[in-house]
Order: sequence, then C-alpha cells, then structure tokens
Amino acid sequence: MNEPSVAYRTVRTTAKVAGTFTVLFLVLLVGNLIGTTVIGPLREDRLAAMKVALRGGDPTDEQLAEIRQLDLQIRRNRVWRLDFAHKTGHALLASVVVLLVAGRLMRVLNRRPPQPQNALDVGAEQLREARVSRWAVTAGLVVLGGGAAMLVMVGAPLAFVAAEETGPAYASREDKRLQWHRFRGPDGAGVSIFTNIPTEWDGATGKGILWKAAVPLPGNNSPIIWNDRVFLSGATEQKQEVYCYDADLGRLLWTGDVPISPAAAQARIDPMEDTGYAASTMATDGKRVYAIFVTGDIAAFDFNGRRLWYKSLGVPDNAYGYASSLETHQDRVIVQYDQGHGDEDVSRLYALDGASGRVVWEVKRDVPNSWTSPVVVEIEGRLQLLTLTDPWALANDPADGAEIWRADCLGGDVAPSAIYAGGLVLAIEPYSHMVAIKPTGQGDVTKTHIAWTMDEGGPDVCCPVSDGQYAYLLESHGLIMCCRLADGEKVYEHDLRDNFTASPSLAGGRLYFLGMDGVMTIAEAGPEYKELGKNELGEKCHASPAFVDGRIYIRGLENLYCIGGAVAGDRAD
Amino acid sequence: MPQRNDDVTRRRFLRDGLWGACLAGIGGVAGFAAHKGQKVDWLWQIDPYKCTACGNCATHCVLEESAVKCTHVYGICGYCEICFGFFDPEPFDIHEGAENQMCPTGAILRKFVEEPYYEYTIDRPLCNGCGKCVKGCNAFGNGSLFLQVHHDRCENCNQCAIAAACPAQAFRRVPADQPYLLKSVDHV
Ligand code: SF4
Ligand code: SF4
Ligand code: SF4
Repeated sequence: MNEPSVAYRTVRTTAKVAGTFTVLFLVLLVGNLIGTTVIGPLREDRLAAMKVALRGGDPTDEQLAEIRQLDLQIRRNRVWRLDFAHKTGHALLASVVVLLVAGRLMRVLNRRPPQPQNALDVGAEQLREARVSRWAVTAGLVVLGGGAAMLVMVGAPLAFVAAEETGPAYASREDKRLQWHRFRGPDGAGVSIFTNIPTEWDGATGKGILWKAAVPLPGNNSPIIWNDRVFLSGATEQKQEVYCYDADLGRLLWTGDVPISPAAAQARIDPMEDTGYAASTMATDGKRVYAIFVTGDIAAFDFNGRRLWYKSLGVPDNAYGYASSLETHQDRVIVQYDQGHGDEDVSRLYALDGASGRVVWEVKRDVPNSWTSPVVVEIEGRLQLLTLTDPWALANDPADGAEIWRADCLGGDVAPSAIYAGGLVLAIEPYSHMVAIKPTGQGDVTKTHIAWTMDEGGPDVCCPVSDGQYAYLLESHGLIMCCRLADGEKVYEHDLRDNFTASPSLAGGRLYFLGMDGVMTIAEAGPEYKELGKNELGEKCHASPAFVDGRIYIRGLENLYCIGGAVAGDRAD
Repeated sequence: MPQRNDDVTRRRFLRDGLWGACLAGIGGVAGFAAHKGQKVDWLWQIDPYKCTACGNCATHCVLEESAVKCTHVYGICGYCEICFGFFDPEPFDIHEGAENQMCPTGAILRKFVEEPYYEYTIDRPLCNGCGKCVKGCNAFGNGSLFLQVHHDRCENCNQCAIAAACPAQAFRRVPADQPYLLKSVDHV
C-alpha cells in the first residue's frame, strides 16, 4: 500500500485537532448549561432564603457580608456564564467548520482510481457499506433524540406557547347570575336563583356536609364561587394570601401571595379584632379573581394562581379597618375606597383594568370612611353603580364613573350595603332607619325620589335581603324585621336569640340566617315568620355564606364547608 | 455478473446530504444576517399600559439574553427615596446593600441628587427584562419604570415568541419609524 501524501497527512492532523476541539467545546457548553440551569437557581434560592431570614431580625455583620458576597458571586457568575456560552459557541462553530472542510479535503485527496475487482469482492463491499449506512442512520437518530431531549430540558425556547386568554375577556351579567362571583352573589343582593339549596345538615355527624377544608390564614371575608372553584382570602399582620379550592373535592388548589406594600408595613395597621386583616370579600369577572386587604393592597390572579398584578391604593385611614368588598364590571374591578373624616380629599371610587391594574377611571368623594360595598345593578336597562356612605346614597355610571344621582339620607358609620329590589334602592343607617329611593332621578334626588323611610332602627352590620315583596332586616343581636316594600310598613318582628354578622340570604323561597355560633336558621319568606328548621355547623361563623346550584359554602373561623351533594344540583330539594 | 452502480450509493447520499446541509446552514445564516440589515416596516413592541410584568419577557425571548429591557422615563419618576423598583417590598433596611435590592442582576443604579431625591438608572447590559422593578414601581411608585423591546437587540421574529406567550396580550406591531411605546407624563 502507498504511503499517504504530505498534504493528506496535514489535512488528517487538522481534522483530528478540530475533532478534539469540537468534543472539548461541546463538553464545556454542556457543563456551562448545567451550571446555568442547576447551580445558578440553587444559589439564587439560597440567597432568597437568606434575605427572608433577615426580615424582622437583627442580623450580624457577618450575615450581611455573607449575603453580599453570595449576591456578588451570583451576578458575576451570570455575566461570566453568558459570555462564556457566546465565546464557546462561536469556537464550536469554527471547529465544526474546520472539521467538515478537513473531512471533505481528506476524501478528495484519498480518492483512488477505480480498480477492477472480481464480482465476489464487490458483493462483500456492498454488504459492508450497507452495515455502515445502518450504523450512520442509527447514530443520526440518537444525536437527534439527544438534541430533542436537551431542548426539552432547557424549556424549548423556540416553541410557541398559545396565548392563554382566549374567548371573551369577561363573563356576561347573565353568566354571573349562575355564580356567586362577589360578596352576597349576583347584584350583591344575597339572593340565589337556585331553588335546590340544601335545608338539612349537621356538623357533628357530618350529615349533609360534602367536605370541610382548613383555611390557612384567618379572614372575615365570604367565599366566592365560579364554576368548580371557590376563592377566599386570609391575612395576618405579616402575610396576605388568596386561596383557591376545588369546589367538588375541597382540595386547596393554590395559594396566592399578595405582598404587603412598604408603606403598609411601616404604618403597622392594627384593625379592630372584628374586622381583621382580610375583611373584604374577593370578586371575579370569570377570568381573573381580585382581592383587597385592610392594608389597601389589591391584587389580581388568573384561575391558575398566577399573580397578574398587585398594587397599593395607599394605606387607608379607617377607624375600624378597611372592609369594603370588591365588585366587577366587565373586565374591571370596582373599589369603594372611602377613608378619613371627609374633609381631606382622600376618598375615592376606582375602576381598575382587570388585566393590568391600571386606573381606568377614578372619582373623588368628599365623604368619610365607610364599610359598605359597591354593587352594579341594572335599572330600567341602564347599569348603575350604587354605593352608600355618610351622608349619601350614590349612583354612578360604571362605564366612566359619572355620577347619576345622589340622595342625602344616611349618617354615622355606614356598613350594610345597598340592595335593589322591587324597583327601589334600599339603604340603611345603622340603629336609625332604612330609606327606599326611586333610582330613576338625576342629580340630587333627596327631595324628589325618596319613596319612604322606615324609622324603626336598622342593622349595624348585616345587609337587607328582599324577595321583591318584602324586605328582611337582621340586627346583630338577632331581631328580624320584615317590611312591606310598597310602603315600608313593618309586617312582623321576630327575635332569633342569637348574634349575627353574616347577612341574611334567600334561596328557593326560604330565608337563611347564619348565626355567629354556626347555627343556620331557615324560615319561609313571606308576611309571617315561619321557621322551617335549624342546622348546627359546630364552628363559629362570621362571614356570609355562598349559595350555588345545590350547595351552600360556609366559612367558619377555621374551616371552609361545602354543604350539599357530590355533584352540584343532584340533591333532592 | 452483478454490476456495481457507482453513481448513487447510500454512503455518497449521506455524505453529500450532510455537506449540503452544512452549506445550506451557512447560507441560511448569511441570508438571515443580510435580512437583518434590510429596512423592516413593522416591529414588535410592548404596550406599557397593558403589560403586567409577568416575567415571561425574561424567559420566552428567542435570545438567551432577552431583547426586552427595563426602560425609565425620568419625567414621570418621583425620584422616591424609597424607590419601589430598587428596593425589595420588605427591605431589611433602606440602603443600597444587596440584601435590600429588588433587581436580581443589580441592573438598577442609584445616585443621590438632594434630600430626599435619588436618580435611578438602568445598566442595560445587565438587565434581563424580568420586570421585577416594573412591578414594584407600578404597584407602589408611579410607574415610570416599564419594559420595552430594545430594537438594537431584537431579532424581529415574524411571530415574536414572547408575544405568543404574553398573558396580557401587551405585544403589538408598531411602525418601524416609531419603534417605542413610551409612557408619557400626561397619560391618564
Ligand atoms: S410577557 Fe407581556 S405581560 Fe409579561 S412582562 Fe412581557 S410584555 Fe409584560
Ligand atoms: S418607584 Fe418608580 S417613581 Fe419612584 S423612584 Fe423608583 S422608578 Fe422612580
Ligand atoms: S429588575 Fe429585572 S427588569 Fe428591572 S432592571 Fe433588574 S433585570 Fe431589568
């Protein structure tokens, strides 16, 4: 056999060197990838944990020096690794090109003139080639598979992720009627359109109770429901959280964290015990859920628990602690932010964009702090946003915040929210009276649109409920008062001999009164008090329950309960 | 006697195919580079009023170092002493120590102006577009920090990978002669 030429040997050596470098660069790049995706995040987690451990403590100089050293290391490393990846990537490309060119040249230089062979040799040669080809294809597939696996490992940066938000950007008002999307459900009226609501259960034996689940942090806000999800919030001085439960199984699906704004952390808010740190009920537009806390920190989450935004509306100046619940209108969240004494120009009504938290409109209100919640209702084909405060009952246009009408009829610490029933807006001044306003006016309607005033007192906490004929008022010490909607005349009075902070509700022609001891009294709606039964839960309850298809969701002080059938609506009435 | 077909063997097919793929790859890179130099009529940009600073911009860009960067409009900035883009929401203390800073890459620098004002600047090469500072400034400051696609880095992919992953649908096409959507001082 002939000795290879000098040119051939040079090219062969070049190919070997290029091959060696290619392998080396590949190894370095894989090492760098592991460093970036595994070691980097581990260090970052350690740094985050060290930072959290500092809060509220009194760190030593050594601890601070350690944090700073680790932080510097992480930052330097990140820049170094990026630079290294770029340079090595380029070097790898160069070495591959050299390898390929050298390989090609080797073939050219090694080409031999065809030599006659006998037929048997040709056959053996073809078999050998076939074997080599099969190996080449197998090796190619292995390399491709390896590449695909690596792509999966680094998160396939080139893959398109379908935009998550499809379909309409928010649920219609009709859709909301089938849910319990806010405090006291559709229109904030405490009325469920479902008639198959349970009437019997017992916390001691578990009879009629589908599930019971612990709620991690305390809160006096009520559960809200959207299809198969239940949302509520909880908070302490140090933590603000949102919880999402599976409505059928009671499993806690996710917990969302809402940071405490620096201003709120500094202000050290100390609400009244009855209010607590999470008094405001959440709201949903069917796409996102919103929560606000006593700190004035508000946040939005998608249904998968991803926090979309959070912001501070400023630390509220509130005598007992901020407690107004949220309302949604289209894809906006409505916040009644009454605070101060009324002369500092700090009270506001906001509509925030649900996707970004941006203020869409805001209305200044020269009113003091209040504890009522806004409701958007439809009155003669037009939407009105109703709010109650001292001294006004107000209606604004939810589209742009423009005021429609106002009536001077309230005073003191206003807490029960407005309801719209039988063509009238009902507003309560605690311990004093209830007024019925015809909501068809413009401007100041105090002298023109008050239909009647009922002067026999009024609940200080619980909102009224109405079946369209009568309004039912529930005082915190247990007195039920029933008034005729047409003229405000009192029809009956009944003492439940219990204490109440949950507002009364109505479903299937039955009134539901949930006492603080967890006893639900059920009575027939109508001009006479007719008790249908009592059910004990066995846990104290402050929040208003939620009523949807065949179920009641009750928040006790520590647990969330679902009362009803395994498949919503399968209960016999 | 069997005849050997010397024109197309599988080995030659594989060999020539690999070589061809390599050439096509190099050609593709050159073509792409040439394409980058051409004038483009429409570019991707982030509407800062829609962006929720979800964090996808840092991880979904086709570039290893995202083309999205934090941008600052000084005219809006409150020059807050406690800058919520600069400080962690619950800082241990109000000073520049690493333990108090929000930005994971140390890309925000601050300079004392006069009591009680500080000027904040972004070290662009360090910023990875994670939006943490934007979240802070939007939530508790006045929103003068926001994210923008920086076009000297952007590959201008026909279908932007971040746009496809943006939950707020904040990405939109803008004319190439007005490539940025900056926040303005008087925007409501
Ligand atoms: S993906 Fe969209 S919402 Fe998230 S940071 Fe980027 S532009 Fe903002
Ligand atoms: S929080 Fe925003 S407005 Fe305040 S200093 Fe920082 S960048 Fe400027
Ligand atoms: S926090 Fe994130 S977006 Fe802001 S400057 Fe730092 S790296 Fe850039």
